[in-house]
Amino acid sequence: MSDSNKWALSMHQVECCNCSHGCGCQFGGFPDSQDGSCQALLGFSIIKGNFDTLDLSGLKMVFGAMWPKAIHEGNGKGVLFIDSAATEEQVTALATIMSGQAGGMPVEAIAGTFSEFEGPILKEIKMNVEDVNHSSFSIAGVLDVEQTPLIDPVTGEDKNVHISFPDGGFMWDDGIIGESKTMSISHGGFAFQHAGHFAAKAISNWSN
Amino acid sequence: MQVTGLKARDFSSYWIFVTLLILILASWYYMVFDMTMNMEPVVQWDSADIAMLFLMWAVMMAGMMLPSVVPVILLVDRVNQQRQRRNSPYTQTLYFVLGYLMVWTFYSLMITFVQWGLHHLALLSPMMVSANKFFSGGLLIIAGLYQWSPLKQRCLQLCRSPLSIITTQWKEGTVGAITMGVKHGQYCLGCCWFLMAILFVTGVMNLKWILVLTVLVMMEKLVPQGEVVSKLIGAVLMCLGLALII
Repeated sequence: MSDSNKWALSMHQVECCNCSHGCGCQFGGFPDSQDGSCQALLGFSIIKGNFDTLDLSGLKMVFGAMWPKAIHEGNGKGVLFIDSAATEEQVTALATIMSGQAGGMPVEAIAGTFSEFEGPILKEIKMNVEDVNHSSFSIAGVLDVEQTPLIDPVTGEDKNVHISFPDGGFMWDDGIIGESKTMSISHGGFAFQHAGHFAAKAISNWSN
Repeated sequence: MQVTGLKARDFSSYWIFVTLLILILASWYYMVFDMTMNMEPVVQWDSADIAMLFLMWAVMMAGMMLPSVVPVILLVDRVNQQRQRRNSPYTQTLYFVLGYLMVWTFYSLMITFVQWGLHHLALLSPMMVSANKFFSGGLLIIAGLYQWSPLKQRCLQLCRSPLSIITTQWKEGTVGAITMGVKHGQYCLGCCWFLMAILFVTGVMNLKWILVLTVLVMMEKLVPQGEVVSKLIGAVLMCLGLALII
């Protein structure tokens, strides 16, 4: 098999991790979580996407990841959930893309930091990306994520905070920053909960 | 349908790690056992002496910088290993290492001529140690100030966060791999070029200080809160510089 599998994904990305506000990985490459680890849940809703001629638009998936230290230091565990609305062909395509097997950044580099990768697991995924500041996604009985805007401590109003990378960022170029109101996963040994931590909503454009 | 068991990494190919270890050990072997320089006054140097000096700087830089760049190299190698395993086109990771070393070799060439000039100005003794306390103090203070500069801190950030360079600037092929190595090398160079000039104060072939600087560079790059470490180093250097002058 060669790299003839051309793919491109333009997605809503709903991201939460165990870092405090700002997420050190966005700037210095090291998480600013309490124990220096990185535990993240990422929800993706594909706006437009394809794998060769196969259309992937409208599909949803959730990616869970745990690294004992900074992401680039490796030894991570990843788990991929795909919405049960996807056809078998689409599931295979998404699993191939997300496990880095078709190449393309950033998945290929991230895949290199995993020592375990589980999935794809088919589940019904509920996701809301319409209300940007209150994005959420969930899988009944497995995981639940809800974002909320940062609040100005003086005026009590919602704050509009962005992190942007004019020259291109690690996963996205411009993220709207909030905090997690809910963030939990319980899937076998893959379990954590970190409400009140870093959250971002962005449009990510990936391809090989 | 389950496509389980996608093990993203196996541990069969350690060869790049072994190669790096050999490169680093060989550099240090040279520094500890083989490094001999012409310690005659500079007017008696010929081109062979300058070539030896350049070689010494180049080997020294490889020995000092490679340890802290091992994690980045292994990261690049993981991508190439994955490609190799699924029979996709990949490039040997050594080309990335080559690009990285090219940057430091270029620096070695520059600093060789700087050193030659410093000998001519009699700021360095024939023993390759600073011969002037104002030169020493000034160098330490500037090196300390540079640690705090935005350029240094920006370069350090990019050095410490190699994943974003890999995801946003990955390039294919041999030339691509060398280019990425050069790119990452530039950030490291921006980080450490003035720190290395401290060797003019301590003595260019002073092994103890070569080791100290190697460890300091590793701490800046690999320890959480490395920015704080780098600023602390800067503060200490400035104090030492002032103490030397006063």
